[in-house]
Amino acid sequence: MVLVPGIGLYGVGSSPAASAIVADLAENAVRVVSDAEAIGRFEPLCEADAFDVEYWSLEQAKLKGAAVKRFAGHVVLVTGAGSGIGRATAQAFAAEGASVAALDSDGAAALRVAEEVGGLALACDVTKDRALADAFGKLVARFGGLDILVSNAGAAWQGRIGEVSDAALRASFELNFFAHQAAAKAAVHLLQQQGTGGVLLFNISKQAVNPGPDFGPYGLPKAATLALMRQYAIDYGREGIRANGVNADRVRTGLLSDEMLAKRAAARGLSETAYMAGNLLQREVTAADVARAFVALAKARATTGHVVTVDGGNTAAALR
Amino acid sequence: MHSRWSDAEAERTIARYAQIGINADVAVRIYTTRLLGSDPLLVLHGGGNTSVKTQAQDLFGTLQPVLCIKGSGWDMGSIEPGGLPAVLLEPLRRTQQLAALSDAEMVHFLRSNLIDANAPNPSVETLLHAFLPHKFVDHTHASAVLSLVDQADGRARVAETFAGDVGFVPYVIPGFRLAKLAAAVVAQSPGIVGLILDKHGIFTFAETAREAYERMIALVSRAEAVLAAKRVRSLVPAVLPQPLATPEAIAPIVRGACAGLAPPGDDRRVVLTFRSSPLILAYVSGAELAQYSQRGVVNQEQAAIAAAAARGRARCIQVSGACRRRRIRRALRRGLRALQRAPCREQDQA
Repeated sequence: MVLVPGIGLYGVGSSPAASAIVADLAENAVRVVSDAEAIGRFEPLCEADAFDVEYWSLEQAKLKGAAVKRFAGHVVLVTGAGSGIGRATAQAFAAEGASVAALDSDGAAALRVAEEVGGLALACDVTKDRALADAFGKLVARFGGLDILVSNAGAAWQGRIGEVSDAALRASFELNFFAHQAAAKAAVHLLQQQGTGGVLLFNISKQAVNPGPDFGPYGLPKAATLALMRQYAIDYGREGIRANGVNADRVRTGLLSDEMLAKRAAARGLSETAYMAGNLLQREVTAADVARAFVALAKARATTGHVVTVDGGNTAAALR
Repeated sequence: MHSRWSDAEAERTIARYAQIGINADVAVRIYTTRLLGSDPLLVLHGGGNTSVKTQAQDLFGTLQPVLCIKGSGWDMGSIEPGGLPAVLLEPLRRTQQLAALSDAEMVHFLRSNLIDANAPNPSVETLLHAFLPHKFVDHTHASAVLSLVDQADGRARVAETFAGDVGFVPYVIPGFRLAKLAAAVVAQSPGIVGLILDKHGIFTFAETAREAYERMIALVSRAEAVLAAKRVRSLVPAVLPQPLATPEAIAPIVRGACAGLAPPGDDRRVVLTFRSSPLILAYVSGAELAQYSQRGVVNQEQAAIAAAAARGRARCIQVSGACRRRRIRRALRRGLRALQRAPCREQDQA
């Protein structure tokens, strides 16, 4: 536990539940010691006896067995966590022991996923600076900081690039580029406070390197986000902050709805089934596949400025 | 502190458990165990334990005297029959003749006398419960009692507070020795209704669940009354630097400093839970915080629970709430380095 004059106390633990237990014990100690000092002088168990209890064979036995998960004590913020790839990613990190904040503009969806992963729900539109700052404040209040940002929130805009309205293109840039920048910037600020390094993960898109017809309003900001990821890798590598991205393609989510799927398949002149399995492995890519790539990148200690493709194999979308 | 006993609720609990074949002794034991366990001023997170001496049927349909005692890993506030494993009472009582019994032997013996081989480990205080003659035995780590016994003159304060109604047991780590010592104190003073264990907690006992529970409430209330009446001073506040930082501004720094404790290459992390209240603020802002916060843990069980939660040594670290990041970080580093140098860490690594 950490005691801060004028402020209060922090319970420290490997999960919110464990740190809450420490905080409960701390609160109880505060009561006992305050009362003991009020009537005399607090004289607890001597150090040697306390040591004997702590390292008592019967207590040590209780500590064994429970394997510590890879991301125990790590805090992961996933934007757009209410559905699809974001939801699968929140679940994947939680399964590895992380404390997860599920952020989504759909507050009810954020709450559902937060309940699934035993995490924190943040209802927030990532394109609104004030809302994002509030969300980061709540994140810190709940967990104390951040280790991994999965900047995933996005939406698709379509239109032939010479005909698309400026408003639509700018709206897409707001969400698919500037919101990534805003989240990454806030995350980097927190990571610098901690001095621990950390990981920024971006859901980019294969559109960034292999644009499809009439998909410019989506692909252009995504290409900028690919550059953004690299810029963070370059500018913050020396502080131990890694930045990586995932280029996924054709994953059935809220973004690639059945209606959108029909349109994209038609744009490529393919049936929907052929479109979904139109890759080297000839299998449909799932949100869970993408989530696994994010987790793998979070673990890849010596990797930064990198893009992992999760598209079933597509040489046209390969990074050169 | 007031009794929350309700005849109607006790009867409802007994009726409910009767439907799944649980006897009335165990059912009413569950009822008052939950009453005690749901009050954080009495027990916290798996702390405390209770028992009842009753009968259980063995494989041959014979009723055997058993001790149903709280099992390891169960929380009193949410106890169920599975959390009160039945242990054959006679073998437990026979161990009182032994001169010594190691912890490992004791745990093995307790397990080998369980009615259900799959039951959780009976409490490490099982023998103490078994050696007492009373049917219902309740044990808590009541905060008010700890404030009385966490004093150099704990014995005198207990005598003054409770007159001849309780026995005083000097500090001994739980297990066989403590059980024998407690039984000896009770044997010497058959009229007592409870035991105060130095630096540890309180036991009450009786022939009915209600009486054992209400004795606990009555004794703890007496300790609370003494705390309220005998206040001779309050914590002197320190002069705090201004302006103060916010909890959110400090948290990432604390978190980062804790991460720095892990060996190189190990990116272990922690999460923080922040708490504040007028009581907490008076405590953390006291001029003598560095003294009273570092003297030790309030009772023996807390050292163990905190260690389990933190999976490491539990210790208080004091940093200034001043709005200067570098100062906070420096203070934390100093505190954490001291933590690493603490003797138990060295033994841990040895």
